[in-house]
Amino acid sequence: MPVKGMPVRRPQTPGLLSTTYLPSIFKGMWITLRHIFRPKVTMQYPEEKWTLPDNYRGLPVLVKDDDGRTKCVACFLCEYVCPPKAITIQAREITTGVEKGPRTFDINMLRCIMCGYCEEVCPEQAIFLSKTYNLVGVSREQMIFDKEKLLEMGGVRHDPIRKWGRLLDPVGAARAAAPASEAGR
Amino acid sequence: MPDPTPPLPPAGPDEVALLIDDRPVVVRKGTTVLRAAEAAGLLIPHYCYHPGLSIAGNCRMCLIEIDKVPKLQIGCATAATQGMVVRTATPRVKTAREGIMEFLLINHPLDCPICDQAGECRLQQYEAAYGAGTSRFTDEKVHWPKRYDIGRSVVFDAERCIKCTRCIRFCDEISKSRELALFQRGDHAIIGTFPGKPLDNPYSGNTVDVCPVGALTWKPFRFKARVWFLRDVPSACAGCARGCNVNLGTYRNRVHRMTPRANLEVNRYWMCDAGRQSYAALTEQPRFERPLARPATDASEPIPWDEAVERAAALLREAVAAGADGVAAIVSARLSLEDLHVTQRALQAIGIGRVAVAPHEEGQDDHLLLRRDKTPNARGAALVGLGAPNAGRVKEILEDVSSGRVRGLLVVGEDPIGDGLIPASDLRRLPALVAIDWWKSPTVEAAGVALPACGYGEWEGTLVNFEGRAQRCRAALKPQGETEPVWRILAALARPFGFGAEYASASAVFDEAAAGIPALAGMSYRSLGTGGAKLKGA
Ligand code: SF4
Ligand code: SF4
Ligand code: SF4
Ligand code: SF4
Ligand code: FES
Repeated sequence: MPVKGMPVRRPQTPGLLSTTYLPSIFKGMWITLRHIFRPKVTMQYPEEKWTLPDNYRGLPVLVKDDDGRTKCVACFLCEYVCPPKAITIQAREITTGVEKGPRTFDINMLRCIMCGYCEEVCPEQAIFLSKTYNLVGVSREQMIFDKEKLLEMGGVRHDPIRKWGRLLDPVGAARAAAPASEAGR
Repeated sequence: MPDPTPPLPPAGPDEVALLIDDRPVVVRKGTTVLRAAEAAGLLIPHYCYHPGLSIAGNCRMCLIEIDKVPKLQIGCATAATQGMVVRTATPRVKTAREGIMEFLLINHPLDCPICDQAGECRLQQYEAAYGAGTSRFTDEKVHWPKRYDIGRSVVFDAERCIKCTRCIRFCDEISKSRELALFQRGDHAIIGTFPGKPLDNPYSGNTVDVCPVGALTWKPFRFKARVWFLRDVPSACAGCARGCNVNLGTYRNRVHRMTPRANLEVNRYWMCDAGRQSYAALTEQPRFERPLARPATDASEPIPWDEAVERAAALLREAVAAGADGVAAIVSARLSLEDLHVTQRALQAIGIGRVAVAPHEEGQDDHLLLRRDKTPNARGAALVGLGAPNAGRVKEILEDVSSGRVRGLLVVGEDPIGDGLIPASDLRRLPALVAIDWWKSPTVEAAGVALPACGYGEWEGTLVNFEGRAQRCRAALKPQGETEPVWRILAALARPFGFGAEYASASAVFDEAAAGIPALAGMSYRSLGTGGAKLKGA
C-alpha cells in the first residue's frame, strides 16, 4: 500500500527584528531578573536532604518481626511478580515453627525498578520499600544485596498480627508435632 | 410452559442419552453423571472422585441438580439414565458448592505461602471458581498436627487435609499395602497410620499426587521449587522395562520432580517411588563434562572432542587390525533406540563383531508396575539387531579381557567395574579401552579414552518397553558441559572407518531406524505422540 503524506505548514520567514535575536535575549534576561526576587528552591544536596513523603518507594528490604523471626517464608511470590526479575530466592526447610524460610534471598538492585510489586504481593508482609535511594557501589556484585544485608536494612517491623504465633510458642509447637494416631484431641 | 429443550440423540442398546446443561450426550450404560459431563466437555468440580480409584462420594463438591429429583445428587456416584436432564450450574447447585467450600475452609490454615501444593491446589482453584470469596468465620481454628512424618518419603499436614480419603483408597486398592486409615469420627476424624507401620510402600508417592490439597507432600520435592515455575516435559521413565509415562518438572535447567502422566495402557495414573526419584542421579552422581584421556600416566585428563575421537578411533583401529576377535563391545539396554541403532551400525563399520548387551535385573515383577528387568530398552536392543541382554555373553567377553584374548573393548553406557563383573586392574591393563557414559563411572576412569554422553533428561530418544510399546523421551534439560548424545558420539567415532551417515537430529535417526526395521514401519516422532505406539505384531 502506498504511504500518503500529509502537508506540513512551515513557519513563515522571520522578520528583520527577530533575525537580530534581540527580542529573545531580552525575554530571557527578563525571566532571570524576575527569579532573583522569588524564594530560593535550590537544595544544597548532600548537606541538605529532602524529607521524603511516606509513600516514597526506595530500595526494597526484608524485615523481622517482634520475636526476631525473619518474616519471609520463601513463598516466591515476589520473585514471580517482580517485573525485571531482580529477586532470586532459594528456600529451605526449618524443623521448628514455620516450616519454610529463605536460604538465600538476593535482590539485584541494578535491576530493581522500585515498583513496589513485591511489597504489594507479599502475603507475609515481609518485604517493604524503604526510603533509601542512594545506591552506591563499585562493582556489579556489590549491587546484589543478600539476605543479611536486606534484613539489616529492614530491621524490625512491629505487627500486631502473629499469624504463625501458635507454631512459635512451645505448647502449640508440641501439639503440632504430635503423631496422628495420638492426636485425637 | 416447558423450556424448549434440544432433542435427545438416539442411543444404542448399551447406551443412554441424556441432557447435561442442555448439551445432548450419549454414554455407555452405567457411566456416572460426572464422567458423562466430562464427555460433554463440562467440568463438575470434585475432590474425592479420582478416575483410578473407587468412588467414595464423601466430599459433596460434585452436587448437581437432576430434573424430577427433589434433592441435589452427587455427580460422581449417580449413574446416567436414559432421558435424564442434569443441570450443573443452577442457583441451588451454586449455593450448595459455596457451602461446601465454606465448610472445607472453616478450619483450613492460611498455609498457601509455605504449602507445596499452592498453584495446583484444588481448594485454591475451586475457591476462586465456586467459592464465596470471603470468610464469615471469626473463631480460633481447630488445630491439628502439622509437618508430621508419616512415612519414608511423605510428610502429612492434618490441618490441610480435607478427608477425601483418596490416599487411603490408593493404599487399599492400588498399592494394596493398606497403611493408611481414617481414625476417629466426625470433626475429630484424622488420617493416620497404624502404630509401627509407616506409609512405606514402593508406590507411596502416588498418595501425594492424588491428594487434591497440600496435606501430603513429597519429601525430596519439599520447597525445592514452586509448581508454577515448573515446566512439565512429557517423557517416559527409564527406571525399568515398564516405561511409565511421566512429566519431568524442570526449572532453571534442573529437574525438580517427576510425576506420572496418565496412560491407561502403560501405567494408568501411577508410577513407583524409585522411578519418581530416578532424576536425582543426574545431580548426585559425578559427571565429566569433557572427554577424558588416560595416556601413560595414571590420572585421566580432559582433552578436546576432536582429539578424543581421533585417539579413540586410533585405539580401536589398532585393536581391530590385530585380529577381529580380539575386539568386543558391551552395550547398555538403558540407551535409547536411536543410540542403539547408530551403535549397531557404527560397530559394523568399525569392524567389531563381538557384541553383548548387558542385562540388569533386580527383584521380581510385582502386581502393579515394577518389572524385574531394570533396563528400559531391552526390546529396542533386540530390535536394532544387537541382540537381547545376555549375561553369559558379557561374562565371556570379560573373561577374555582378563585372560588377555580381548585387547580392545568399547563400553557404551555400562560400568562392568562398578557392577563388580571385573576387577579394575584387568580393565586398566587393556591396551584399548574406550568408554562412553553419562557419568564418571569407575569404568570411565579406567578407560584409555572416555567420551561424555548426555544423561537421562538431556537426551531425546525412544524406549521400547517390555510390552513392545515405543515411547518418546523428550529432552528436558540443556546438556551439561560438552556432553553429546550417544548416537552422535558413535557416528563420529565410526566416521574414520568409513561410516557415512549424518544425522541432523534424534528424529532423523529414528526415521532411518523405522525405515529398516519392519516392526517400526511407518512410525515417526509425530505418530508416537505423547502416549507412544505399539510395535507392529507386538
Ligand atoms: S520493587 Fe519491583 S523491581 Fe524491585 S524487587 Fe520489588 S518487585 Fe522487583
Ligand atoms: S513475597 Fe514475601 S514471603 Fe514471599 S518470598 Fe517474597 S518476601 Fe518472602
Ligand atoms: S492445601 Fe491448598 S489452600 Fe490449603 S494451604 Fe495448601 S495450597 Fe493453600
Ligand atoms: S491426606 Fe489428602 S488425599 Fe488423604 S484424605 Fe487428606 S486431603 Fe484426601
Ligand atoms: S467427588 Fe462426588 S462426592 Fe466427592
